[in-house]
Amino acid sequence: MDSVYGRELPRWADWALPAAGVALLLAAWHALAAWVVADATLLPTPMQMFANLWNWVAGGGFLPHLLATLTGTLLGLAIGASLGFCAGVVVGEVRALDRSLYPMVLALQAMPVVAIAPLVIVWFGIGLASKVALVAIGTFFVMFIHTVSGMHAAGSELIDMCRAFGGTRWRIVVAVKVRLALNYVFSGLEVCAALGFILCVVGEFIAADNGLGYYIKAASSNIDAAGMFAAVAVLAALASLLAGLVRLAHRYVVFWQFRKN
Amino acid sequence: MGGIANLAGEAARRLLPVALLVGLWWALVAGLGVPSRLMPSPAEVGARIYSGLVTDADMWPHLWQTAQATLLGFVLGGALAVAVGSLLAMNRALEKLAYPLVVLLQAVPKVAIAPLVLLWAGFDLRSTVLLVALICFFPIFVGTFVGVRAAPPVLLDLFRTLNAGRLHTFLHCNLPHAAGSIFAGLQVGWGFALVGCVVMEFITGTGGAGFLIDNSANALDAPTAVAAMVLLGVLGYVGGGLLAAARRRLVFWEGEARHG
Repeated sequence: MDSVYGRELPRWADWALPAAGVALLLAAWHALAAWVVADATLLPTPMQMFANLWNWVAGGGFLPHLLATLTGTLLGLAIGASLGFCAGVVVGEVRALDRSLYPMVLALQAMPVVAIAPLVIVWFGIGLASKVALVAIGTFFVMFIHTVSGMHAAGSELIDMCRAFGGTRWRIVVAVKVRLALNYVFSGLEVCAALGFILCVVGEFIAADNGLGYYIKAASSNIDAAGMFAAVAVLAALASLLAGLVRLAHRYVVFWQFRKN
Repeated sequence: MGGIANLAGEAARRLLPVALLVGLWWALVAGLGVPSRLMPSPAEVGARIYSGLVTDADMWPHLWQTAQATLLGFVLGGALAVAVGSLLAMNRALEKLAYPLVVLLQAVPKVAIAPLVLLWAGFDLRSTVLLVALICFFPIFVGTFVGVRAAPPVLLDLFRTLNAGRLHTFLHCNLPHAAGSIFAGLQVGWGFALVGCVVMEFITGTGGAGFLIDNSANALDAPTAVAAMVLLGVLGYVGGGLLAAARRRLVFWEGEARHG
C-alpha cells in the first residue's frame, strides 16, 4: 500500500537496496582513491584496506587490541546507560529534581567529556578502569537526557485513565510513562552505542598499552593510512553490530509500534 | 511583589544545584588534600578564570576561536542532518539505499578520523568545522528521522483522506510532530559539536579552548586546564539554554504542561 513514506517496497528490496547502497559506496570510494587522489598515504582503496586488515588478523596482533576495546566499551556502556536511564526516569517524574538537575546536567554534558579524559586517566590509571570510567561518564549523560526528554513528552490519556483506576504515582511511571518514553530511550541507546566506542578510543589515544585506539595512534605516527583505515573499519563494524542489536531490541521491546497498521 | 519573589525563587532553584556541586567539589578537594596539579579547588579555578577573562584577558582569543568553529560546524551539520533525516524518513526506497552510508557515518568513530580530516583539510578552521559537522550530524539525524516517522497514523490517514500531497503532509503533520525529537537531537548534537571542536584543537594545537586544556595539562597547570573546561561548559550551557528556550517557544505543546 502506498503511504506518505513512499511506496510499500517488495520484500526483496529490504536487502537489495542496502546492497546496492554498499556497492555504490565502495565504487565511489575506489574511484576516488584510485583515480582522483591516487595516493595511498592519503586515502587507500578498499582493497588496500582489506589487505592490510587481513595481514593484521593473520599476523595474530589483532585479538588483544579487539578484546581491550570491547571490554572497556561494553562494561562502561552497561554501567553508564543503566544508571542514566534510572536517573532519567526519577528526575523526569519528580518536578523539583527536574527543574534543578536537568539544566545542570545539560551544562555538565555540554562540557565535553573528552576534555576530562586526561584527568580520568590520572585518577584511574592507564589500564582498563580509566576507559570504563570514561565511557560510563559519557553514556550516562546522553542516556539521562534522552530519558528525561521522553518522560517530558509522555503525555497521554492513559495516564489519566491509570490515575482514575487508582494507580499510584510510581505505578503510573512504570506502567505508562516509561513505556511512552521508550522511543526516546532507544534513540538515546543508539547514540550511546556509537559514543561508547568513541570515548574508549579517545581514552586509548591518551594512554594505553593496547586497544584499537592505541593501534590507530601508532599507525598515524607511522603515516600508515591503510592501517588507520583498517582499525577504523573494525571499530565501525563493532559499532554497527552494537547499533543493530539496539535496533533489534527496540523492535522487540516496543513491539506495538512496529505492528503493521 | 509576587512576581519578584517568584523570579528570585526560580533563580535560586537554578543556581542551587550548581552551588551544591561547587560545594561538594570544594569539600572533596580540601578534605582529601588533593594536590592542585591533580584537581584544583574552585577558588583557584575561579581566580584563573578571572585573570583569564579580565586582568590578563589571555583566554578570549581561544574562546572566540572555539565558539566560531563550533557554531559554523553545528549549523552546517545540523542543517544537513535535518534535511537528510527528513528526506530519508519520507522516502522508504531512499532510506534503504542510504542505510549503509548512514550506518557507516554512525559507526565510524568520528574522533578517531580527526588526524585524517586534518591531513585532508589542513591546519586551519576548515578541518575543525568539518569534524564538528561530521560529529554532530548523527544525533540530529536520528532525532529528525525518528520524529518524522513517529507521526500518528490516524493523522496521516486524515491527511490522506483530505487528499493532501506528500510535501503538504510532511510540512503540516510530520515535521511539527518531529519538532520535539529534533530539538532533543540538537541538544545532544551541540554537546557533540564541542567534543569534536576540542579534539580537533588537541590535534592541531593552533589555538582554541581544547589547545588551552591540552597545553596546560602537559605543563601540569591543572587550574588553567579546569578553568578552560569550565568555560567550555559555559559555552555549552549558553548554547543548550538557547536551544531549550527555542524549544519551549516552538514546541509549546510538549513538555511542562503535563507536569505534577
